[in-house]
Amino acid sequence: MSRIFWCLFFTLWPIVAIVVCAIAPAMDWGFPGNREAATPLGQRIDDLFYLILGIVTVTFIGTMTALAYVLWKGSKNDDEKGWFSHGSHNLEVIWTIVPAGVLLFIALYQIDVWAIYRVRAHENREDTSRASHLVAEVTARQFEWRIRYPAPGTKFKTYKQIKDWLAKPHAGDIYAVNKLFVPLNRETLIYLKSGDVQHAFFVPDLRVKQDAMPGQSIDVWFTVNKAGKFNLTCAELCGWGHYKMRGEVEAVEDLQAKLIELKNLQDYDGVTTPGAVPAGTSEEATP
Amino acid sequence: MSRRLTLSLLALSLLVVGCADYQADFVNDERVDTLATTSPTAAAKVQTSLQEHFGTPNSLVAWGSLPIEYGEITGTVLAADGDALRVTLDTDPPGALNQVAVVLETKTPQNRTALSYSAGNRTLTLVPQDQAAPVPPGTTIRLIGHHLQDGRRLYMQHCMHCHGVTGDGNGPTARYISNHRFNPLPRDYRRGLFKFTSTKGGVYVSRDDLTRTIKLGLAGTYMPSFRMMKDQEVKAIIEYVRFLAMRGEIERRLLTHLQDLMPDDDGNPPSDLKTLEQELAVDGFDEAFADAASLVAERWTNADAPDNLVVPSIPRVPDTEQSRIKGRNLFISTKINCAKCHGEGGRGNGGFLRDIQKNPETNQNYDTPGLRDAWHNMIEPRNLTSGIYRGGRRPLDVFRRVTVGIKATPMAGFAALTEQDRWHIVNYVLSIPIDGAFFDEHNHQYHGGTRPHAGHDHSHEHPHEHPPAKESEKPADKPDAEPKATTPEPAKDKK
Repeated sequence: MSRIFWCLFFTLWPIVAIVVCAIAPAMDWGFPGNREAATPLGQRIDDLFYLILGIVTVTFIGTMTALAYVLWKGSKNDDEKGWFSHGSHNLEVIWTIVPAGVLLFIALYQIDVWAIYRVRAHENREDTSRASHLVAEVTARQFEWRIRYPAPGTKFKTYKQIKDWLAKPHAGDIYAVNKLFVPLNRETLIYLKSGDVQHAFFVPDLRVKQDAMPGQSIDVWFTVNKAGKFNLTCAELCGWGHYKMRGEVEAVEDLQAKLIELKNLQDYDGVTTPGAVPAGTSEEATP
Repeated sequence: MSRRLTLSLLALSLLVVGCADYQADFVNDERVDTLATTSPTAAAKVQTSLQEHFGTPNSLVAWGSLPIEYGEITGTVLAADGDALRVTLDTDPPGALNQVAVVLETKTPQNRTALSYSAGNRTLTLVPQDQAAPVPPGTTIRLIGHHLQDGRRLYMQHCMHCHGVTGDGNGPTARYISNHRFNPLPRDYRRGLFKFTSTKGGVYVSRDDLTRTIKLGLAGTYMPSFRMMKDQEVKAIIEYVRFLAMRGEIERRLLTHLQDLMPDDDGNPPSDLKTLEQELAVDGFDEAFADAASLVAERWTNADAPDNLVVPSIPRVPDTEQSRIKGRNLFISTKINCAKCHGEGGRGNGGFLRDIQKNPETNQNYDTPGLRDAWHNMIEPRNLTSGIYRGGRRPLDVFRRVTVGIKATPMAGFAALTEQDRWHIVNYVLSIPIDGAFFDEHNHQYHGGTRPHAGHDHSHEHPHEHPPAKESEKPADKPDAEPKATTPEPAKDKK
């Protein structure tokens, strides 16, 4: 009886794995954003994940099926003695070389994604060609995201100019909170700061997650290639109100036009500013 | 085996401890307890009347005399299955319907409570009531309070931790905020006082102002932005905040009415307690309650009147150097004396901070020097070089701060100035974080200000500017009971 139970038990899991794999797309189990990242790098990260998932699934189903087969076979046969394989040199070489090869393959295959995601963003910070990508400074604080854009039309040419801009307020800066506008199909650089404790800037749809550290301003690079609004959350338990840090990243075709709109709202004097909305209802421009 | 089973069941049951519906309670004003030491009758009267008109957090009462949008849906009685009554609603309710009051418009209107709601066929079941008059199918019902109920639910999720269940600014996390010196404590709603409003002096906060505060937060404070909250949710929270504010203020006014029954400084009851009790807590109580309620209702209604909005009649004066110089000159002038609090360099370190202030309630001097708000908390004048504007950074917002001041704080309004002058001040104030506070009229350039030496006020480093305020030379411990005539008087904005 218990033989049959264990045989069935180990046969069940490869079947469950196959069923889960088969129904996953229909059940909409997958990554945020309809299983498709809204950044090219995010898509590559997803591809890597699926590759690893594939390797793991095949290995799991293969080993579990083999185990079930051996159990079935052994349970039917009471007479034959078991084959004692302990100390088999050949077998040990195989199960060392094969996984090592798989791991080495994954390590080499993912290396440029990792380089783009984590290394490239932090080297050559002073490269002047990068200055023009700056979109905003995002300051995480308990429990909100304070955002500052340079004045519309500002062209940063050198890293020194960026550093100067980050250091203090400048004329025409646009202030916002919890809602970040980024350009569509353009490489975007965000400077991430923290006003108090450690936070993490997490946009699941963009596959962007970066810790914000007090005292540092960290570069975050991404290129959004799908228009739309994406949830922004804090991914580092930052205090009792961690759950309040809900924000939104919106990719827009014409960021300059959007910034000018925000600027008009921010410059509203209650009487004449063009494009402004009546007092009290303006939500875009902020304190 | 059975012991192991029992243990694991016990461990599992520990997981669900605390999952029961939390029974929150409104907290009494501390003076209710003081009152109870001399006149338990009067204290009980206050509590029962509040309970009757406002209920408890888990069973709210939508009292029609207050200017609150409780939310109302109509419907029709479908059938009476035994005791339970089923009704169909005319529209979909936007939120939860538990515990919402229902008025059955029968010959004699009946009050019921909603029990459960099935969204599919829009059918609501009401809590059965013993000995209720039979209700024929087709009777119209009014469902009141779902909006307030939503507001309560959201308030408990997002606001209660700081502002407290009662709205007394004393929630469980409030104490951590107060650890920071001069950091404002969460707002205590019960006085009807809110700092950043678009309304005239003496007028309460409008719904639009509360919307702005919730949506955008108050920069530089612990009030975060709830930007992603749906408009409907923000509206519900605002109604609940107004509900709490009105409840708290009526309570305060009742306690003021019963002031004579309070024990004296030594804890002794008043000599003619019985007579006073009869007069204040029995004969005159209902009238006092009605007076307090109508006053509070009137003030909160006024807050949304368009006439009470501060709107400049002329557009912002162009933000030129000349305008900023005019603003600067007004800023340091003895006429309005901004520098006295905000400092010559705008760093929020003016000489007035070293003066002892008077407690407006007791008319006694405070023990320590410094500015205080209406809740007696120490506060600092804004450091205008930081570029953080709590009440909003739009020119309109700063104009409103200059015009009516910041309510419940020593920041006075200067409505007596011409609008041009106020715009000059706005232009100057908005330029401080960028160009610095000091303008050298001889060299026509700004200097200093944004990057000063640590711990120094620039006023001492610029002898060609205006001389430092005399108060700053005064020893810090010397009490100054009488503010100078040049002190900005809060009375100015009341004209």
